[in-house]
Amino acid sequence: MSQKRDFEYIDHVADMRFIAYGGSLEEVFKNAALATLFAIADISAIQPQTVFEIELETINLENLMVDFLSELLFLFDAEETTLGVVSVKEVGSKRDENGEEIWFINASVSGEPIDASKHDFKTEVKAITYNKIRIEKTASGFEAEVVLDL
Amino acid sequence: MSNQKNEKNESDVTDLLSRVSDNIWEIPKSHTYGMNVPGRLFLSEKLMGTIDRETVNQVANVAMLPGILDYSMAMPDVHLGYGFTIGGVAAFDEEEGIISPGGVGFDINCGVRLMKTNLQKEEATPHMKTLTENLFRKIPSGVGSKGEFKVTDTELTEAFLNGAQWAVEAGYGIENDAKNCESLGFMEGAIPEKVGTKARKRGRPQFGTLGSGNHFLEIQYIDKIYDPVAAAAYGLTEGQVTVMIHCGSRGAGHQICTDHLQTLNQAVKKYKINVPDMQLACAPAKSKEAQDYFNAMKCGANYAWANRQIIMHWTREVFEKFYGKDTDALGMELLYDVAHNIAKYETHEVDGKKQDVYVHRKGATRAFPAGHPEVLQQYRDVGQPALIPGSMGTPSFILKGGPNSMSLTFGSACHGAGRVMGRGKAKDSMSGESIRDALAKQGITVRAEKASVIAEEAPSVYKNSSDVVDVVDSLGVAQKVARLIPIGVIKG
Repeated sequence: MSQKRDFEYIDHVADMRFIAYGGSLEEVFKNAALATLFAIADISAIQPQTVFEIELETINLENLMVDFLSELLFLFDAEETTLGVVSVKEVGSKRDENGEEIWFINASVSGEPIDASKHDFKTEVKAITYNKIRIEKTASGFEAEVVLDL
Repeated sequence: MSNQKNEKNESDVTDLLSRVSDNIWEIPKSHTYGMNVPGRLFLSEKLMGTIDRETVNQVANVAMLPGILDYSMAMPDVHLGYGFTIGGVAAFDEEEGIISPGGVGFDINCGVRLMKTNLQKEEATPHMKTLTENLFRKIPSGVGSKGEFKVTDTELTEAFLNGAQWAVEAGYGIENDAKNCESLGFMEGAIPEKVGTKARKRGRPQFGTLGSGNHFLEIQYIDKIYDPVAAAAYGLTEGQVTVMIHCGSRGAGHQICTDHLQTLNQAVKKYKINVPDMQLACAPAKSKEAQDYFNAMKCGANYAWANRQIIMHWTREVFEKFYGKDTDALGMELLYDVAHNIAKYETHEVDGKKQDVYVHRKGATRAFPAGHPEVLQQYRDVGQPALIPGSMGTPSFILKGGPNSMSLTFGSACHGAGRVMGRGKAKDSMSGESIRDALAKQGITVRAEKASVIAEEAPSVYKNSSDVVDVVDSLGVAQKVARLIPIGVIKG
């Protein structure tokens, strides 16, 4: 699957740091997901055989990013699927019944059953960290910086 | 498009530190507003160039957490982490202090075990190609790997509760194995109900796998004995072949940490704790949130002990088949198994008073001295074995807990060599094939899933393990007993 992607990796002595870019929040979340998945494997040729819907809510945008990316790691391990195609439908905020702001994401990810003979794996991503996490509005949209625990 | 951008390595940190004595440097409280205690780095002049300013800042950040005692400490293998440094040690007061998953890390009870054999170097080296190949085939490793080993949900619960003891009872080991592990191969008080469904789902298929990255299984031999008395107590002799296993709690531990961090990130607001980095999320040690995490962490720790036990059992099977002798005849006895990512409830002396504290060791091993009641009886006269792996091309060490560990480092020592170069940079600047060839010339056979892993884990991306161990040895924190030279390495 050919997907537009926009992120860069920044060297970290033990782990991996990336900055993802996007014109909208949806795009920056999608690119962060692709940065995470490309850290695990070369996913350029992964076909969307099995689809997983992801719907999450939490207290702020940074937590939403960690929860969203953590969900990808969970699906990879538990569903034994090499994920490669990401579609982020909506990222936004709303008020809960107590009037508190909550952030939500609706997305779908898809991929193929893990096949080490076919998939070009690079490294295991153990977890998504909160270390120095930032999601910021820029002149051209948004950027998100995340450290992955390898 | 993705690309690699290298960061400037700001390796001169001396202006941030004051020298306390040989190998001890202090980060004064004035370094950052809000530090409750100073920071302490245990580093030689030689290792001073191996750390950067961001690492110093991470040590200082931990000093800002409530109830921290004495110092926020960093062992000589310290390097940049993702909240705590790797090589960090911090103890927190039971009443005023906190428990933080960041001080343990995602790979709960990542640790090292060392199995002895009665084989001599000469009996093993000619067969390294076959032995490493057989081990590589037997023990699942690498990204996405899963073994033939299957556990039911009930068995997983048993593993969460009883660690290596469960694995031995399930047939993966011999009776003495668990008796030779730190805390007998399990932490008491684990509560499986505090482990979520997701962690179970991630942990089940990965049970009995080595993982990837820096995890390894290594065949080594002892080339030098420094302390004949301790070596005799540990049953070590020159030329003896040993097997070292380094891995952790796999997806189970990673998900336990992820899930509880989510809760604790909200708890910091509830308890009005200011954390300088969200990864240092924590809660008062006695709060429900902190205790829930701690009791789930114990499940992760126990899973890891069981995991290393199972992998050691398969290693024995490979050796038994190859040499045509059983475990007993081959002398394949576990020396010890240490955790190096863990939080422990321990008694320490603080300001001349005995106190119960939560010690967080994030990339640091316990190193309890001779006579300490928590040192296994068979080692109590000499001190607890501390296992310090080197890199693929540099020696590993067996140390013994030293007389100064309790007063200087809350009974802790380094855990390995410590990285100095990122994986991206390593892959860009070196070829795995040429490193494999260079290691082969040194008499080290490496069997890895792919060559890129060898580049990422090349000896030059690590500090020299001898330099690291020399610091804890000269401080009397953990003292050299024996040196181990790698001859065969399995990498995931």
